[in-house]
Amino acid sequence: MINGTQTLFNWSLRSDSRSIYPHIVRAGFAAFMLLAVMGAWGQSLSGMAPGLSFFRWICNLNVLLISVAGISYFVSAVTEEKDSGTLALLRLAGASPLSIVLSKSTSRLISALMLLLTQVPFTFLAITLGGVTWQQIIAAYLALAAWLCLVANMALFCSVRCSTSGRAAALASAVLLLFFASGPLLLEFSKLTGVSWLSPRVLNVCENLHLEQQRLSVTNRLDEILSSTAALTFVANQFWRSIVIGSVLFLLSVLLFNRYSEPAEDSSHGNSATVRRFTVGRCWKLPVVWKDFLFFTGGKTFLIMKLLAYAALLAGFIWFHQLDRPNAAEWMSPDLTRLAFATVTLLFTVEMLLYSSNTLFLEVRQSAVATLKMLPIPTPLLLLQKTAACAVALSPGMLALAFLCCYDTAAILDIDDLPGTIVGWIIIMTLVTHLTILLSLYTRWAALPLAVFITAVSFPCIGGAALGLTEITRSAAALNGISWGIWLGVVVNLMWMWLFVLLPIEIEIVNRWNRLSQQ
Amino acid sequence: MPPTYDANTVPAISVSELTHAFKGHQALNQVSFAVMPQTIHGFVGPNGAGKTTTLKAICTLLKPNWGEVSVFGLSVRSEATAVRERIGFMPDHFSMYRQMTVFEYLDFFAAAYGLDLASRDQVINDVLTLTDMDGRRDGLISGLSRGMQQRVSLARVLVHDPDLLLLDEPASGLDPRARIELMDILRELRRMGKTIFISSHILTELAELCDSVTIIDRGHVRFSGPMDALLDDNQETSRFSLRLAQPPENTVELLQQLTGIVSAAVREYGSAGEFDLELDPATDSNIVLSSIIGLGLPILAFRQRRKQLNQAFMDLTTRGVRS
Repeated sequence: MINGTQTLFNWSLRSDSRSIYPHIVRAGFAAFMLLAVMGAWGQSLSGMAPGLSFFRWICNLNVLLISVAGISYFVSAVTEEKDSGTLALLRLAGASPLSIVLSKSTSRLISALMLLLTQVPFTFLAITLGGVTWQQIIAAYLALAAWLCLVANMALFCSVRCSTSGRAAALASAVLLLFFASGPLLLEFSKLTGVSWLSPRVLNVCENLHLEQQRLSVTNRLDEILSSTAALTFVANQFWRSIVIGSVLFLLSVLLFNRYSEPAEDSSHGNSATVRRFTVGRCWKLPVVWKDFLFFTGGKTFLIMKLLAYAALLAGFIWFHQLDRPNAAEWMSPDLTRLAFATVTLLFTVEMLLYSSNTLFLEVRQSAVATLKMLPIPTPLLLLQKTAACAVALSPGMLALAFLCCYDTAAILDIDDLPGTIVGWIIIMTLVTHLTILLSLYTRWAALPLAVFITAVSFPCIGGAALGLTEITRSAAALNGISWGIWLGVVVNLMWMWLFVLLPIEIEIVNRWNRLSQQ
Repeated sequence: MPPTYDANTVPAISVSELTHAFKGHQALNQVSFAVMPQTIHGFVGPNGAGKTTTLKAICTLLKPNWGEVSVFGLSVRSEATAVRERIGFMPDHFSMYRQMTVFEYLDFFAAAYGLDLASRDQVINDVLTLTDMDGRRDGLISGLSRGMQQRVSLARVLVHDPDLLLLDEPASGLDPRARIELMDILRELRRMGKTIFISSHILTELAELCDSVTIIDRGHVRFSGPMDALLDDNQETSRFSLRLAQPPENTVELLQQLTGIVSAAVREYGSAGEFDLELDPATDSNIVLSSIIGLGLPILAFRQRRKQLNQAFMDLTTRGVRS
């Protein structure tokens, strides 16, 4: 067993160390940290003590990166073998479930830990900038490592449980979303003491569950570490709970491995021709839109399911409001409308990111690039059709957002700096989806976390320029008596963004796609 | 039989001084050959000889460093879209969207080539009949055997009725029955007026199927021309085979005494009564045959022996895999 595990582990680690991309990422991360430290040092010259805010920002970035890596990098640990049909070969070679699970997950975990370790020397420089102590840094990194362990093992469990990487990613995303959303939801629910028919025991359970969630939450633990001036314990509840839950999930992955290690079943016949005629039908005039909508995003059935899920989510918010205020005339309060809007936007964003990481990647995996390239459809048009297919699949989310806007326009317009928020979201999403699509043509599964990281790093520069440009445009518009100057600024910004940032990425996507078609 | 051509016939494929290198590795070096319309042209060579690179250049996927490639007179560099409409390319590692049914898969490609709904039905039925897959039109591709998937892939390249089919190892991984059936389909396609450019390692079947052949090795063309010219080439003496019913023991001595026979021998690994004869090229084979009849030997067959494609291939290519 040890030999098999060691061989597999060595192989995974060797292939990781031979690939140039992980090294580039680590080097890039180190360079970024150095730049960030230098920036903070610049601030310190003006008499501030920016160490704490710098370190807080780094911690938040790490939480985001680990979470995104969970739904894209760690989930493929076992499913990549299932996808390529090599899991059976590993089993035939005598590798036990423990060896496979241990070797496949540990190599990824080490790879991710290396990224955390790269940062440590730079973050210690933050001590000299003031506002943060070495105890806080160590405690924060221990909390992050525990969170990494929890997320990696949760993703590993999804990878063992699901038959394809796509399904594993969807399950892992749902679990993470549920975890983050459960905190505020359980808190609000536990406050519903005025509802007569709601048993106090139920409220008590909600309150306890909320407390448990808080004890497990890495964001809470980081807040606690970074706001504490008193003596810190290096390892708190969050650390032990994450490690224990992570270990349990690992154990479950090993125990259930045999049960779920069969490859996705290939049935020789699809649904009956009648059912198929409704669910699939004839190819549309835009064939790539048809193909991707039906066979990549899940098609009509999945679209209806998503529509129902969004409807159920909104119904949940309405029900919650009715519980809270039984005699209220409106369906939802403005606060709840805004919360529902934010939740739908978050789900919509995750959906969009998952589509962008897989839309071209799956064609590469299926060796379909050359076949598609031979079609009399120019590559940019083909990519546009793929985007359109994803847009169709995203329509339930868009409908839910439109419904909320129509239901309580005033509440939505009341959001602080709404134009700025919308424009910021559009800029971030266009950048991150473009980067994800591009990176998915280079790396196997790490495209999404890498794109999120690059966007998080580069956004301050782009955002700063965008804000400046908006201000200049608004001033120029005001001088010339043009109303709606802010929206003019938005248009100018988007044009600028497209010309100097998105267009070069789009050109490289097309070039890379063409190069892949020759391989 | 291939049609006859005049000097003005535009070749289906014309490759002239095609040269390409990948990262310092010379994949193709001044490759030149031509394929005439409505013929089956075999393209053979050892692994790493440059076959797939040449195919990719012809089908517009690869822009070569140097040289000209044209398809029915259209340049693959400047008229790639027009070229793509006239060719159907089946790569060696063909991709299949496994969750589609056969009909949906063909419907997708037919729509991508701009066929309207009505003509799509007709075309898909026709190609399914041609490839003998009409019984599996509603079956999922994931449930098909490799041979059936190969047929579906062939059907896919036919949906837009291309004039030229480029097939890269179409018979690899197929069982003997599926291979024979594939060859029959290709003959039928030639009869329908298609030009077929086929890269394969199965030389015996290529020899029977192809009208012309190009042998490539280490990026260089070693031979290109009609199959007959390759198999009859380099014969200093005419080689014949003789088959006798119950030959006497001294047959070899008797044959060697005849005028015009350079050598005679019992055929190695042949069946009983088979002899290999090498005739003096200056001697008429009919005179030799008359002499053999004059010996009173019971002749069952007397025919000219042709070089096997395997032998020609081994003679023209060098040993070992290219690094």
